[in-house]
Amino acid sequence: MKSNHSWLSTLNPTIKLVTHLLVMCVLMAVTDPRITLAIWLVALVIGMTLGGWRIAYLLKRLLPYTIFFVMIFWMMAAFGKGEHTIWQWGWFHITEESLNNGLMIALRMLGFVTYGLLFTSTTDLTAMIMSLVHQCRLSPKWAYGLLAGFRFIPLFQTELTQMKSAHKIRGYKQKNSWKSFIRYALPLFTQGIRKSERIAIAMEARGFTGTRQRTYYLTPQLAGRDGWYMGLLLIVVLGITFILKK
Amino acid sequence: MTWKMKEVVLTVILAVACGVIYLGWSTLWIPISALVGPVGAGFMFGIWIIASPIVAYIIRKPGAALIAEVAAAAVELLTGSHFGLSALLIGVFQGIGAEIAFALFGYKRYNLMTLMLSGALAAVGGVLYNVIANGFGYYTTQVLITTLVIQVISGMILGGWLAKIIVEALCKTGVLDQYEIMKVRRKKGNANGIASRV
Repeated sequence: MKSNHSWLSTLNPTIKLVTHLLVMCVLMAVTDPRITLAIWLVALVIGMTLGGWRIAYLLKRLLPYTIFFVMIFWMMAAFGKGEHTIWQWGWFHITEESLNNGLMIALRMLGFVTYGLLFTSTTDLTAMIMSLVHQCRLSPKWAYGLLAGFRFIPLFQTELTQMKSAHKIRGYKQKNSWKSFIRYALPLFTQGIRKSERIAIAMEARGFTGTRQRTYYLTPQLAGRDGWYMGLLLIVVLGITFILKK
Repeated sequence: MTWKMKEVVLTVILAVACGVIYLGWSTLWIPISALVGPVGAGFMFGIWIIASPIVAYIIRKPGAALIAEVAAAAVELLTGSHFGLSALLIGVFQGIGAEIAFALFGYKRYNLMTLMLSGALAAVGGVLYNVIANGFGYYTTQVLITTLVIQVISGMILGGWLAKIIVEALCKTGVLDQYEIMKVRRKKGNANGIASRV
């Protein structure tokens, strides 16, 4: 999670997160595919204008989801309930209603992903955690613990691929999934526990007690534009749901 | 009960490790579920909730299950899971489910039964979220109930039971010696030892 240099990245992360989660709640309540489509388009417009998304970036990030889009659509269409049967084969049962629901759910998924991307592509992780400390009263102990832990994501990812190749080279073939899960999870966890202990000791050795009475090199604050963004986006999204309602 | 720094970091790092595993699991899930439907793919569900029982079993503190699951879900979000912000929300639902199991016993009992119960309740929380957000309510009633049953069983086995196996294996390596789980065991071992001597 790194911020780009768009207008959206200057907003307060907590406010942005809350706003996007609220929009997602609206998306959950909407049952009309047209409204879902419109709300998704709002996210695209925001991304292109305020979020600093280029067309190429957008295509690169959203194209993989078109596969998921089709799959979710298919799942809902083939296993949903409905009266007007269109096609039936084996355990697949496609109806008019299930097609409609499938389209709505698939668009909703796309909306979730786009609003999520809108948040993650414009927010700096450190600023986000610091904002949680200042705006949401998260305790510094957890904030710095989280920051320390999240630094390990790329490390664990490379460790996992390394382990997989090491197993492959020694001729290990994946037989059943939960056994292979233990095989990979165990070394990952032991390494993790060792590292976590070292980090905790290092933090305490450097005088980190985890109290709120400390200095911060970053103190995110609330500004007028946060309120404007939150208010306007919610008004637009709610406006769409009322206008397009049958 | 205050959290020690090393418990905080342990929770976060184990959650991160779980989150990394979840991510691989997520990409595996979509093609399988498109083939056999959400019902058939439900058997894979349990892995996604394993952070809660593992961390709660080691740390044994109120809130551990919820925090671990939410942090693991946050990792999925940060690494660009295809579930986006909804990965965070479902993490909250599953975490609350898992937490309830330990709260029911007043955070006193940590055995295979409570771990499996937490897996089952996390599955219920996950299905609840899916009904609200992912339109599981539109599936036929049989499909929905079968999904719930399969996910609860998967949560109990892949969540609770597998978590127990993993933590026991971790105990043997000795990395957990300084944490609550081994402290409790040593205490118990000592008591037994004294009793047998008397």
